[in-house]
Amino acid sequence: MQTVGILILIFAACLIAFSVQGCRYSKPAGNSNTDPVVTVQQVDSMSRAQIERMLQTLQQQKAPKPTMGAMCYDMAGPPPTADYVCPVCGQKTVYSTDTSFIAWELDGCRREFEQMTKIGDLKMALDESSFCAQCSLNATRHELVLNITYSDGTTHSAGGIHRSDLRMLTYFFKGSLSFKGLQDGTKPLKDQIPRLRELLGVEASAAKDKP
Amino acid sequence: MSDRRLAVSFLPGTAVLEMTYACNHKCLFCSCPWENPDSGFVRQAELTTDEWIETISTLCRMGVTRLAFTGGEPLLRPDIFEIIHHAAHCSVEHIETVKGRLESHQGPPLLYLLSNGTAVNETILLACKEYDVQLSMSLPGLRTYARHTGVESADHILRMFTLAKSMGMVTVVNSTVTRINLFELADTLSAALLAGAEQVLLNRFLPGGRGMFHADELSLDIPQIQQMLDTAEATLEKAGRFGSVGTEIPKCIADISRYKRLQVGTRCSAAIQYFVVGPSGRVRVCNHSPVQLNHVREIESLQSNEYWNRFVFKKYMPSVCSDCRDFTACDGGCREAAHVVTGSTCGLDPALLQAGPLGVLHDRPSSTAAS
Repeated sequence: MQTVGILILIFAACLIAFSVQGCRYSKPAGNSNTDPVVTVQQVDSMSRAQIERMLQTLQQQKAPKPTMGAMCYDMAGPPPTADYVCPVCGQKTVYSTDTSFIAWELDGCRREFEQMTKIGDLKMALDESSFCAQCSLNATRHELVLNITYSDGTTHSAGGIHRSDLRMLTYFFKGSLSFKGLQDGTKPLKDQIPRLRELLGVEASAAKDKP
Repeated sequence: MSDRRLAVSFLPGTAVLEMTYACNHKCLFCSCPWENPDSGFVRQAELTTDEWIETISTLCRMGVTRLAFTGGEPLLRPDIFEIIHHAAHCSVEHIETVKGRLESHQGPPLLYLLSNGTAVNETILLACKEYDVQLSMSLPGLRTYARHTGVESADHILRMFTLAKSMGMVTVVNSTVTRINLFELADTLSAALLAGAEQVLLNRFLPGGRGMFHADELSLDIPQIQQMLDTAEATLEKAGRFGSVGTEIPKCIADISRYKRLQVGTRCSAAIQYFVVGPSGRVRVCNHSPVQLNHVREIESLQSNEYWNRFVFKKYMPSVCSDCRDFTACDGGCREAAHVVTGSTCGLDPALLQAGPLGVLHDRPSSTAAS
């Protein structure tokens, strides 16, 4: 009987020892894979200060690099590569340089050009062909070109077109003395005469330009 | 390789694959066009497993390098991971810029799964981890979760964020912001980030789908959109995390230069950066669009499709925006939301319908950040 009692005690002691061992290695309460760390009820009962402290603790942990997901909008910053889809042949060309011009400004140029053609009487076309690797296979330089055909049949081409050029022309055709820049503020068109001459292919007359 | 090269095809780099019309939620804000019987959207037979596999193979051959699985609820398809398995074993050419030159390398497409989270469990998470799928789960509120989704509690979603994090996964919390849940946006995002989500994708409510019938109670006005952005920015700042807004905002509504943690876009990228293959295989320019174009079997024909090209070449600005100083740097908000509400892709973004474009009619919100 005494032996049985001792055996029972030893057995109980073993059970206690194993359970203590188990406790040492078990996950703390509330930290199992199925127990939520955060619940709606917990958030509901927390004060702003408590949440703020927790967020500040989170801030100490390294954040993963932002990844691009399936978003509806274009990324805000200039992309490392830019895609150009040709309005003539429909093919896509991928670029590693001039990506902000291709991704952002080119659309703007098209819109400015469309606005400009509503005002000016000149026959004009915006030539994008050098951007297309299909249409201009051997182009060494890609730039927007403004082609003008005058009523007498003569033509003029101006390269390196940017949005600001087309905006200046729009205001020029309106007969305005100044134009709205791409940022806030207006600028006198008078200061842009040399560029306007380049764009329109109108040489300076020696008599007029004399000081 | 030089600084430019002809792409494999005209297709955008990201394809959003709507795996099914079915969903286990009944979200008030749901913009899936098939949830609005008045939209003219016609449901057709869903693609079979083999058809999806063939579609994915075709898209990968045509240069698509990112695949986003969504729906409806994609996890309701019993074959979803059979399809994802196939996608994960495709090989695509990833092109990137290295020191100013284009370089390419072969590899599997980048994979994303956008789920409402209710069907997510440990097995699903393990599968996402195995196939390197970035998981995004929807959390449109805490106290208002049930009202928005028809599902009782958000606790399960929070639990899944925690479990995913414990498995070493980076997850995204996708929160649609409405007038009803705006008051708790800070708590919603905080809860998700504290539970383990690492990034935030914010979507302002835009009428469409089922949401058309709840537009009055859900739509955000301009000050509320600004509050949404400021709240998200502040929460991300506190948490040291980053996020983005999933739909473009008209530039006259928000001074985007003030947001350092939250990426806010002002231009539409439908048919440019991404496009959608619907549950029956019909292509659309974006998820919000009710206009079904060619079937994906005839995807090459999209090149000559007028509606598709309207988005590729951005021929969709509201005429009233033409005097705005940002006319050439902004797309006037969501074009398809404008289309759904006004009947025209050249209509005003729903947020501007009452106020009018601020650049023309009102003073702009003041900027407090350095430019």
